[in-house]
Amino acid sequence: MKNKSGQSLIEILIGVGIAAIIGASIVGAISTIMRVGLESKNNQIASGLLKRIIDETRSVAESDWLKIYNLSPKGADSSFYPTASGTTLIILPGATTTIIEGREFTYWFSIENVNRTKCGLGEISSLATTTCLTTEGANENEIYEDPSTQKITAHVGWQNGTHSLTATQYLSRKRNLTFLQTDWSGGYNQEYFPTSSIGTLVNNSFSTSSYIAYGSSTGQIFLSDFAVSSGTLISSVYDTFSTSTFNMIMWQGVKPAGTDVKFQVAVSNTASGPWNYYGPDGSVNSYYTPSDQNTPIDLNPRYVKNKRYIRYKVFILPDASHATSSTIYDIIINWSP
Amino acid sequence: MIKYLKQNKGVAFLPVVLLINGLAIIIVTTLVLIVTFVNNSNARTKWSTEALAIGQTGIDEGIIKIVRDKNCPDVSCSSSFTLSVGNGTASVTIAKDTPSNGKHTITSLGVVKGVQRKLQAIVNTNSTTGQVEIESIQEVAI
Repeated sequence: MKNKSGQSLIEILIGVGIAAIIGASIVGAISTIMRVGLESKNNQIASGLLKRIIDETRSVAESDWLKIYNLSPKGADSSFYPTASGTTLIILPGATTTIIEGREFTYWFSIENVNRTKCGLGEISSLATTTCLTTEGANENEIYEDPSTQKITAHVGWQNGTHSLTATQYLSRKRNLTFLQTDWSGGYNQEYFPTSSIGTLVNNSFSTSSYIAYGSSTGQIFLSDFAVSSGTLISSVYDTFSTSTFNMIMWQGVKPAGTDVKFQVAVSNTASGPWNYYGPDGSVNSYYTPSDQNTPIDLNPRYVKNKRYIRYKVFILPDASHATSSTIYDIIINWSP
Repeated sequence: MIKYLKQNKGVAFLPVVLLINGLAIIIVTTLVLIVTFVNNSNARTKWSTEALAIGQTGIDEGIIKIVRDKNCPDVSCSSSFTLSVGNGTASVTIAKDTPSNGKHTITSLGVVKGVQRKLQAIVNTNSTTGQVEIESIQEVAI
């Protein structure tokens, strides 16, 4: 009997012990599920805030790129936040907090310049900037900043920063407009293209020329004397009415074998210049030479970024036997405000 | 009889406790599964937001390539490329004259830890000037 009583007590103790362990597990599980439920709600709110930062920075960049590009100081540790000011969005320095469903969330974004291969025109690269003198023949190892791309990392933190979410995106200056000149028959001595309240009107005149036939009734230009090494024409000043980046230059027309057309461009933030005509290495000795007509060539962003005014200098070269030259119908420059 | 009952109380108690505990284990297991599911769901919500941002980056990247080269894809502009962004990647394809002449279609698949968001942009590309205008950007089924 004593043995049986002892056995019963042990069984009770074992049972109570198991019950206690399981009970504690249940309490723990319920506590965890309540915590996870709360955390789930916080994550949903934080994800919503992340998306808001992403959408609002994208919106600001599309309406005015410089509001994003000119933020300072930049870097992975920088902090800014978008906020409404009247009917527009603006970017302010620092982080901001908001209370949602009784919980405090802090959000901000950091901004960094972005490097690319091929002197800023190839693929996005995390490598440091290298020597990069020219876009012509630039290879994957030549790393340089692309002023038309920025890295944005959105951050949301809560519970005194013990919890956080981040999301990264690259913004690009993808809004673009076109300068198109199709006629030069109006002649020279026009320093500026006419402007109006709706922008700059590209007409049929230009600034100066040398050995260029421009009087064609169809508006074309070509060499007036095939004996010379090249003819040149300098355009009037084109006003973008914004601080712009110039993406590419291109010509259309007829290119007989052996002839060539090449360009230099000059940019400035004042209408009166100075006007220094540069090629892809930023010197007067280099030229943007498209491989063919109707084939764009990228302008080196290093030398044409964030300027308001532009003008081009076109060089028309005869073939080796000085028997013919290319004929230009159109000159096109793509730019981003 | 009383003696018998007293002797067997412990024997009756243990099976009942084990039965109850068995049920409790099932409950705990269920709760653990729920917690795991909710945790995964939270992670997927976060990754989905990131994947969308990465997908948008891919679209931007495609557009800037067309702005710089209206003839893209060509010898100097690849028709497909992959971009590393934050914790994920964007796989981008560019198709010219799709869905019709003068239009480019850019498709970008943002992926973060297996969570995917796919975006598609259609842009009008002026055949003469190369000026690019966005016609639409929308999320599409994977």
